[in-house]
Amino acid sequence: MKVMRIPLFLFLLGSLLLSPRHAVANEPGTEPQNGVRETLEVKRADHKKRKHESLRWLRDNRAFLRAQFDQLRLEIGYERDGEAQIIDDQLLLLQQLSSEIASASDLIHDETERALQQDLLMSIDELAELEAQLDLYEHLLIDEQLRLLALENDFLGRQGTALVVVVRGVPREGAPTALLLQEEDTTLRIELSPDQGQALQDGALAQIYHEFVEPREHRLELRLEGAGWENAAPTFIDVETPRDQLTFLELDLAALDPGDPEARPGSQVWQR
Amino acid sequence: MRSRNHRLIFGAVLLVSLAGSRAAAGDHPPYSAAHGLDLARSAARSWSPDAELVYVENDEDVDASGLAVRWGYLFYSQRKDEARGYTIRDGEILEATELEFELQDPPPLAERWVDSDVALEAAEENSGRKYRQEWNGRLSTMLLVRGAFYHKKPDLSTWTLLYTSEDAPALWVVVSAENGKVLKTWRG
Repeated sequence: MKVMRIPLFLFLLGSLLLSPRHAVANEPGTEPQNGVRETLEVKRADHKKRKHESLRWLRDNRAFLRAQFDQLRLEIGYERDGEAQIIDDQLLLLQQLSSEIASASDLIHDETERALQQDLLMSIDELAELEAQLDLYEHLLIDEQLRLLALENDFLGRQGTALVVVVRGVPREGAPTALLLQEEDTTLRIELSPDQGQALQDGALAQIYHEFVEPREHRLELRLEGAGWENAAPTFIDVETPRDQLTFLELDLAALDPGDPEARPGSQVWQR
Repeated sequence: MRSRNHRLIFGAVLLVSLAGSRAAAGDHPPYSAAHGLDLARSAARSWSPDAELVYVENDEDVDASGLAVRWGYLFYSQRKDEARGYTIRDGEILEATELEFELQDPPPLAERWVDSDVALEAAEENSGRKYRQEWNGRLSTMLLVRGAFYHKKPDLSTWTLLYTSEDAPALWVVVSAENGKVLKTWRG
């Protein structure tokens, strides 16, 4: 009987070790999708200490409120309603522009066909016809310019709150191999190739971040990777992003020093 | 001569203190809850495009007109399964924080709701004013949520006003955020 149990135990142990769950647990992170790599790390929740007390009642009475929502679900189930939406004026404008472009294209096509059939100008009447044709092209061009202007105005008038971070300069220790930019629980890692490192050394600017952000003050954590930067303390940068404006943050890395935790990158902020 | 000097000094001190108090009030003008929503929503949509407003609460005391210097707005994203709050003062987001606890799939507030000044006026006329006067009470909290406080019409967004006093049980007044009418009150 004992002889039978040992192979069974070994089989179970083998199955456990080879099971897919075990394989998944050893993976460092999921494969990158659309440039985003999700990493899994279990640690104690470290909530940012709030400077301003907010939603106090909700926080103090969360169990009560959750219970109220639970009752709601038990009584009526739960449903989100989809509603018909009024079509955006912008969409209507784009549709109109699209129709006008299609119509202009058809007109040009017809006129081109007709022009190809006319080998020679046979009379003064045909010269007048050609002139009319040129007028038509001119009108079409003007209409096209007006459409482009409408599109440009629409584009410029719809700026969301966004942040662009660019870096320049190289620390004395040499160009980093990667830059890590973190805010709250999201970290962006930007690898720098030797060519890009050289470009920074030659005075080039590198854009490392361009995203829509919340209109508020942000605290960004910047870390550098590369030889000499393993134990360097991160640098914190505060930047305010006004609503519906594009904020540029330029960081000069030349001032950073891995041995000096107080060193800060030179920074410049502007909006447009 | 001495008493004249004293009067001058007293007058100067009074002027300075009045100017100071006016400046302090002017620094942070109170506003009604709906007036901070646009900014909060703009931030929430940057955080997650599917974010929907699920809860509003006064972050500072509400004055007699239903205005507060700071309001808190909570948004929920189904896609992220997370909630994020914004506290707004002076037309600026003072802080954005994620809830440190889970609020499972809270219902989004209705697109349109009566503002905090309308809700307060209704509550005061109904029983709030009487409660304050009788029990030396005060309005401690105003919150806007959907479904949780009026199960007869769970689809309805409601303002809930909580009056408290040291000498009596609290007074709860639920006001319809659809039409500003008081739906129910209770003590406890």
